[in-house]
Amino acid sequence: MHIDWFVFFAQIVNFLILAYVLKRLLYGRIVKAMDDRQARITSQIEEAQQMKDKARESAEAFEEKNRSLNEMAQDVLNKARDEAGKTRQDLIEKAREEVDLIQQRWYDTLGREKTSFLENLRKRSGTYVFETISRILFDLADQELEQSIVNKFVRLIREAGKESLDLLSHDRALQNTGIVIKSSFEISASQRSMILDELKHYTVADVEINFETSPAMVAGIEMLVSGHKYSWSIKDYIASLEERFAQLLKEEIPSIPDA
Amino acid sequence: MEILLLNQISPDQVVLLQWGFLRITATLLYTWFVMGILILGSWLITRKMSSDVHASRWQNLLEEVVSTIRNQIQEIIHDDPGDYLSFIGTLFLFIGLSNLLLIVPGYVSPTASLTTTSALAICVFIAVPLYGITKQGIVHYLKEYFQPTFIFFPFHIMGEITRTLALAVRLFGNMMSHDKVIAILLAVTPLFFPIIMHALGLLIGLVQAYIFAILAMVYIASATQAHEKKDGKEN
Repeated sequence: MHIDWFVFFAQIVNFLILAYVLKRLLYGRIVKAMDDRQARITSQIEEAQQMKDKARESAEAFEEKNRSLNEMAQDVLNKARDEAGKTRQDLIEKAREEVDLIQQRWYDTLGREKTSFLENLRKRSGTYVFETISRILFDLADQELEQSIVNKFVRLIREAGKESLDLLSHDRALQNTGIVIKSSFEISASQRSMILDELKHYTVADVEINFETSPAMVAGIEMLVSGHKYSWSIKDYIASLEERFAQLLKEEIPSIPDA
Repeated sequence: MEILLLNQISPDQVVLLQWGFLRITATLLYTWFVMGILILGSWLITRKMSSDVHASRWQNLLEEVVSTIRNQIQEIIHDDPGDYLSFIGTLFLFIGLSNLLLIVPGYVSPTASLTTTSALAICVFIAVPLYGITKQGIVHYLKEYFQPTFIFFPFHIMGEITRTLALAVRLFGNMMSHDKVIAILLAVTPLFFPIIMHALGLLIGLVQAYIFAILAMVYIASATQAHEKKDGKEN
């Protein structure tokens, strides 16, 4: 075992040189690279963690916003539903009012038509009854109906005269107003003289008596004296017929109210 | 039949050049060869270092080696290995590569020379008090030699010397004997058995490099950390 001292010291120097060079070329660089990499990875992990936190916050904010929007949408929907319900109720009320109005108008129209119909019916009925009765009286009694009406009217004056027409004889106002006798037919001269003969028992001589023909009257005759009316007309009978006819019509159409 | 060449006995015996007391022996030549490989390889690999996640294979290899050395040092001293990495790492890499290159025909490891192992052991011998004084201060460090009483001072000195000697002789003995055993086996047995022994020799070479570096670190740690001075890890 022999030690070469030159080689011994040379090896020490060699080792020190190698340690120094490797420290510069190897360890320093490698350790620096590893530290840099670790720092970078740590930085990336921290950055990823931050992004993850940020993403989580964004997701939570989004969920919160979504929840808020849903609640808002629900509120708007509820409000719209309420408003729609209210509007529908208003429209129903309005429609009902319109229907009632239309129904009322219809009832009015129907009532007017009914009235017009009944009026027309009354006229026609009166006319037909007048014609029928005239024809019957003319055929059976061999006497004109008009004469019968005049006779009836004369009797009516006579019956009334006993009670109330006596007052006419003292009524000076009649000289101004006169007496108007309306009839549905033209009163003949003989018939007029019958009436005048009867009236002269109750009136002063200078009272003016006018005869008028009114087609609106139904087979009748009437006299207006100082606000009093003395009349006979088929109209009274026709009115009874009309009442019964209206009652019959109401029974046939019960939903139609009275006009 | 010549079974042992001169350089297989000891590379120190092979003198390539000599000027007076300056002698360039095979030991120095192979040492420079190993140093050249280490320096050139380190320069080539680390000249394009990347701190990115994706690094070259060679860089990964070196990072793994350096990282392993740092971890081994850290396990012993439980401290930052930065101050010891250069010294301990160079010991391991130099001895390890010297021993692994045995696979190259005609190569003789410098660690098979007692001169080389002694030089490395002396480096450890000097490094231990240097690190100890640097870390603890000279007074505190020298005080450890008189613990538990001053009577133990000679024994501490003897211990320092003997363990340094053991460090040198252990590495030298292992590497030198390996060469010799291979040579003898080659002469007396068929070809295959020496191949197995050769492979085993590579393993032994790495183990010896590991033992040398770890022991050096333990010695330094015992000098820098007084409470662990006699923990017996060298056994």
